[in-house]
Amino acid sequence: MTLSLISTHTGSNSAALEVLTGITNAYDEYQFHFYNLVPVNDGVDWQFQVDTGTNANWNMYVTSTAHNAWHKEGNVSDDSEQNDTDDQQNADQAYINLTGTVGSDSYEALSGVLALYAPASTAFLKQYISRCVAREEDYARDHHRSGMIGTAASSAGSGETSAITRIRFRFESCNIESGVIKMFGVK
Amino acid sequence: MPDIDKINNVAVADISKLDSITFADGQKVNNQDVSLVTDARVLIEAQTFTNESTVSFDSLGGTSYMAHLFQFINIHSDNNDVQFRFASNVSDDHQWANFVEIKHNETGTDDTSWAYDGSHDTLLNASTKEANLAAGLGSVATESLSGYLYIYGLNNTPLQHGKNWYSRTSHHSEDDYNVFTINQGIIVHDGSNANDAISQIDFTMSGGTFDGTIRCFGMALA
Repeated sequence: MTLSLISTHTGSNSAALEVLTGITNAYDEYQFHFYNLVPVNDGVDWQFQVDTGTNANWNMYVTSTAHNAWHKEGNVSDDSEQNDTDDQQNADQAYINLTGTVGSDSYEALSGVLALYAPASTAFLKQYISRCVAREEDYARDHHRSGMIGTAASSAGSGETSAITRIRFRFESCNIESGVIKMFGVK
Repeated sequence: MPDIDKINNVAVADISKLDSITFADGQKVNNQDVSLVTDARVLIEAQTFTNESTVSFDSLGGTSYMAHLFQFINIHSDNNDVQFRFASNVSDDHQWANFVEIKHNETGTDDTSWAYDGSHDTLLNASTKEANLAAGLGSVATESLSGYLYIYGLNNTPLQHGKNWYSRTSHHSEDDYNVFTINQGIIVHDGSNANDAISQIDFTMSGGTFDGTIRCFGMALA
């Protein structure tokens, strides 16, 4: 078996779920599986940031892409588009949106997977790919993301590659009512 | 039933994990019920390399895996603005693929939605051996690509028609974009529905050498 469970993190009216240990050079790929995460408030984005352990400000430098597809109940609306509001340029240093808005009704939640590649590398920027599905206001949405993470401001490929050792997940502006994150190492 | 002292001549107390056990191997270990995974991913081969022009996985034949998963870790091109690509070793095979990418540059001055890129598509009967998995890779020291490729039915077992594949990669382009590439296609044999089993997959850049790690996993049948 090549997918090894490292830790489980359960939200219960939590401000954030932080993984502060276990991200090392033991694996070249870490997968974070999201199971039915629900926000306390309606209509908020699911986000993450990382840090190096010495910088605990959760403000690394990310260049990312974002694409959403959707379908509304009753076939009222269906389409897909790039989403400028969910991608980042290097200077933003903000939390990275893995979804668009997620609903808080009893039957609404998000699930998905984030793959973070070689976080312990000190040679390269860190690549990630994610895919999440979520529901809000009768919309089923499919969120595709990718990005590359630097640990200092971009300067044409230098000084950006300290090891990443920690990751923090949260909803944009409210607590996590419930849900589970499992971190796996892939080998 | 007595407890088991050793498995494969290793003391049970010394075993911290069990790999590659299939359902056929048994249902109890040390007289304890175990849940045996029947669709596990099995590591077939891992290659970490530098300055290679071709990275070959040449022992893929004769297995019954339903699919093969190739994991790409920090693939770094030694030449600027090149394509990362793959092909089979069967001489009459060629590729029929759709190449789609979305990208955003570091300074936030440009981004594009998913778009087919006809220059990297490969057409049926074009006799193109290689399919591009990503385009425009950068060669600056910190620039790389990571992601994965699934290929189904390489050995015609149990899938005997066409080798479907799809890939997802994220990379740092030569002009400082993050590029998310979704690609999917079929390895077509001799432009027809005839299919030979494939025993080797080769990865190359469109020019020059490259570095990184590629792992090949087999997706086991139940």
